[in-house]
Amino acid sequence: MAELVGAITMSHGSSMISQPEKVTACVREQVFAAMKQARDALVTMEPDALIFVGTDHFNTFFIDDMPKFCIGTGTTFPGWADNIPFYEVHGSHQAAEQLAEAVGPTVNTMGGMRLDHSFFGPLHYLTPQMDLPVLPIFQNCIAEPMPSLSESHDFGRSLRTAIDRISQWNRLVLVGSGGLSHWIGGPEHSRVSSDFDQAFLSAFTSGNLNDYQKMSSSDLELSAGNGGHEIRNWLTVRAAAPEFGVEVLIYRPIREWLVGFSAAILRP
Amino acid sequence: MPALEIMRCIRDARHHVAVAEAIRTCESARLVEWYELSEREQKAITDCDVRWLTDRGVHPFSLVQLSRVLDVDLCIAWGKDGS
Repeated sequence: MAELVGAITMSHGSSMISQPEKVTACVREQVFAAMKQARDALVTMEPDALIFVGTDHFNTFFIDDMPKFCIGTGTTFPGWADNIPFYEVHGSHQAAEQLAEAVGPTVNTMGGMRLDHSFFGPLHYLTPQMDLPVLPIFQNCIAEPMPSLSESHDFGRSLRTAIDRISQWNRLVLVGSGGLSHWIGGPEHSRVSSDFDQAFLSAFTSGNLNDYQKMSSSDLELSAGNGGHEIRNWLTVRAAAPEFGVEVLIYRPIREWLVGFSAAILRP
Repeated sequence: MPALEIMRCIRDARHHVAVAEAIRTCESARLVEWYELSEREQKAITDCDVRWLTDRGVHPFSLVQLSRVLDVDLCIAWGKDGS
């Protein structure tokens, strides 16, 4: 049976890969140093594979056919090269099927699931050789019907139980991608909220996320922007690893990259 | 959903060079052949008219996709200083 040996949460943004020059050298160095810290931490965790909770931005899933959750059950997952280089990563059909069966009927499955920068953005830094198997899980953070924040939290708890039942790998690391606050595409494009982000990181670190579990999608969007829906992936990871200690590696509001940027490591 | 065909066109432009090129070069004939779009809808897409598209219910992430197709800064498209 598999053991969850660590977790990593981090914001994603294709601009940080395609347009690093949009920020000052100081910001770049700080962000990339944090990414290196996350990568180094991942190496020390010695995982056999990653369970990766990410989202999608109308590349694989379109607005007229959005599941709340979907597990990729293919053996390879190509990217979309959506403002980042083209990548492909390997998975495991057997392990994904085991996970899906253990999580239950709340999740869809998809064999030919392609992954956009929500997945390959963090992987670009965490496993640049794309040599670690990935079991991708899409969580809808973009358009209704999104899971409620409470559902996202509960999904994390189910996920932990399901991870324990995977027989193919021994050591697994869970990754959550997205957030923190960002208003993107609309009239407030490029806005971020440091106040929201700092409060969320404090709650994330302590593990007391009750206020966020109770928050409605519309209140979340008001406080953290339409991109802020992606904190669901952080909630899911924290709920899967409630006993882990959290080290926040970085927080910076980075309007130029359209994100309240943070990364954190969770260890037993 | 009235905006669905517009969003489908924009989404396809991110994945199919021909659609992206038709938008960039304002080739209405080709867009009409592929999508059920009115003249006004085509113009809003090729002009990256974010206000009009938003009023019609086009999702903000579709606007992000369109901005990448047309290489437009959305801050400027919304009338703000570029980021």
